[in-house]
Amino acid sequence: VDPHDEQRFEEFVQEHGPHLLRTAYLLVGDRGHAEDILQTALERAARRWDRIDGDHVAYVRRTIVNLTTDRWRRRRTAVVELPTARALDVSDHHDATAQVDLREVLIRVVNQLPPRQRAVIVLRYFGDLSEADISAALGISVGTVKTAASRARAALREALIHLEEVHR
Amino acid sequence: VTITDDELDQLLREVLHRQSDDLVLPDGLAGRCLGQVTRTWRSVALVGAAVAAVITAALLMTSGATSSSHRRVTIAVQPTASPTPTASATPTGRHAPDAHHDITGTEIVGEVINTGLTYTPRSLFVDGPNPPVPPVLPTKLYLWFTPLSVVGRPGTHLNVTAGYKDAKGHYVPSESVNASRYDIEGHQLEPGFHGLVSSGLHGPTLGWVVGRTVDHVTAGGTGASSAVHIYTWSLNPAVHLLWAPDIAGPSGTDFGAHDAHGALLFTGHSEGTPDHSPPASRPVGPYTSATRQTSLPSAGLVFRHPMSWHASTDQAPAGSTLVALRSGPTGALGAHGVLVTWAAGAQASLSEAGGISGYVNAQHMVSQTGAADAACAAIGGTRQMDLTVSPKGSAQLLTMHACLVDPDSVVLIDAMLDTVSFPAPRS
Repeated sequence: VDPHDEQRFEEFVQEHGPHLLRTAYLLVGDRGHAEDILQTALERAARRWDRIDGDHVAYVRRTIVNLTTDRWRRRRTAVVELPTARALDVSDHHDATAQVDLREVLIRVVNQLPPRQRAVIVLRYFGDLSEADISAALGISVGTVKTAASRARAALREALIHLEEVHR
Repeated sequence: VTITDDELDQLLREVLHRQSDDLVLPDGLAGRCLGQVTRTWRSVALVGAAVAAVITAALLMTSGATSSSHRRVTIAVQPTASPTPTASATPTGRHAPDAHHDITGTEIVGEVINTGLTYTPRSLFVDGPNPPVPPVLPTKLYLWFTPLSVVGRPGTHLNVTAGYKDAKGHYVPSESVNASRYDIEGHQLEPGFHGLVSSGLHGPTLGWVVGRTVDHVTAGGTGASSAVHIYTWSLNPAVHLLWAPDIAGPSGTDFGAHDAHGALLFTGHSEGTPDHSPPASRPVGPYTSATRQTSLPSAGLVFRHPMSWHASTDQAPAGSTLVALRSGPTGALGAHGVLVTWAAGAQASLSEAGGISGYVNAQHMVSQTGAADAACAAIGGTRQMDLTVSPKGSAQLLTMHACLVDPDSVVLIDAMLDTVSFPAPRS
């Protein structure tokens, strides 16, 4: 790596690393794997630093998403699309005598979303990406992004309804 | 719940930002990345050497492997008279092995363990339909750890190697665990039962357990069970190496490690060591089928030939030339490296070598049997490259197809090709 590129790379990691790490964490739900994935993505970026056309952040983010997808696919447990949010487990957090932390339940539901829906939600609400940018990052059409977002939001809303029923 | 879309949006933003706000970037991350890049390029040279060695081997086989000892890829070994559990080799040159390095110059971390098992090193092409290969002598099996740097697995730094000691006392690696991204998922020291390999032919069953002791291993495919030998690694007493005679059989199997009460030890994030849960349905698609068809010979069965690393291009027959032809479509593929396939060329004498394929990444090579072209086609949209090796200006002798399974590997294979060379033809 060219020394000048090295300096730019280090500055890039300093500036954007924390946000990219958090993105990876939200996608995989595990700090160790998130660090691994970020490091791998950064290594790939470093290898071709001067050949990346355009936005380096977008490049690393897309690599993170791809690595996450790769990880999902390699996991032995099958990823099953949940038909409704009622199948999502929020009951663990039910305590009739306590104030349920709505945010904790929501993040739990997000973590249980199918991978694509989860990625869309993370990139949309944490990364503040547009649908077009999400489409590019995930390698899917804008229509598919919309569909995934809609289903994810429906699942989250259903989970909230379920949560309310639990509290009644 | 009467929550508007805007409220839900706001809530999600708050939740996601709050969820990860305590994450701190690891110290020195940028430096580690740059260091890894440097190490990757170094390893590319090793891959190049491996490719050169395999092509050389193929050439040697086609020109009569049994007629001359220098044409053998497999190193014929003699059992040592009194193998000892510690290295005793004497440095003989710039890259000569010593007490802390194997014959390839790779560092040996910690002690070398003499398993006492009789072991028959395999030749390079035993995985597929092979031409006759010279017999190799059984010897004693040794185990040792070597440092490892795997692209994409920054949490993995160790590799368990099985090998033997040659007549000069040099340790020669033959098979290894943990050299592949497929072997592991997660950190190498996660508690549990880690990567385990069996040659399926003549080799041992070996792996390691972290944090627990193991009593015996079972092979789901054959139903065989065997008590294991255990060695607690001196550099980390939580790590217990295990080895046993081959119980897998040629087809490979699902391995399980059990404690003294028969309880199955959970796997320490080892994809090469499948658990015993019922097979989960997996999404069917080009990516998955490619993985199954071209990257893993079978679950739990991994072939490696690190011995080819130290083979030098000067073993190529006089007059060999290398012509690199690059063609074929490119396409997006998974991040699983490079599938390299050696297919028979025009000469009939090579027909026996057809269908031998291998997987190459920055660290090692894995051979497997399979119809390479079909496997590449099954992937769909692969980028293929052909290497045509022609000795003494003859017609096409051997074509090596490289099916890229990772867009990033374009860089890797390009570098590999740059490192492959053969002596110029001699008049």
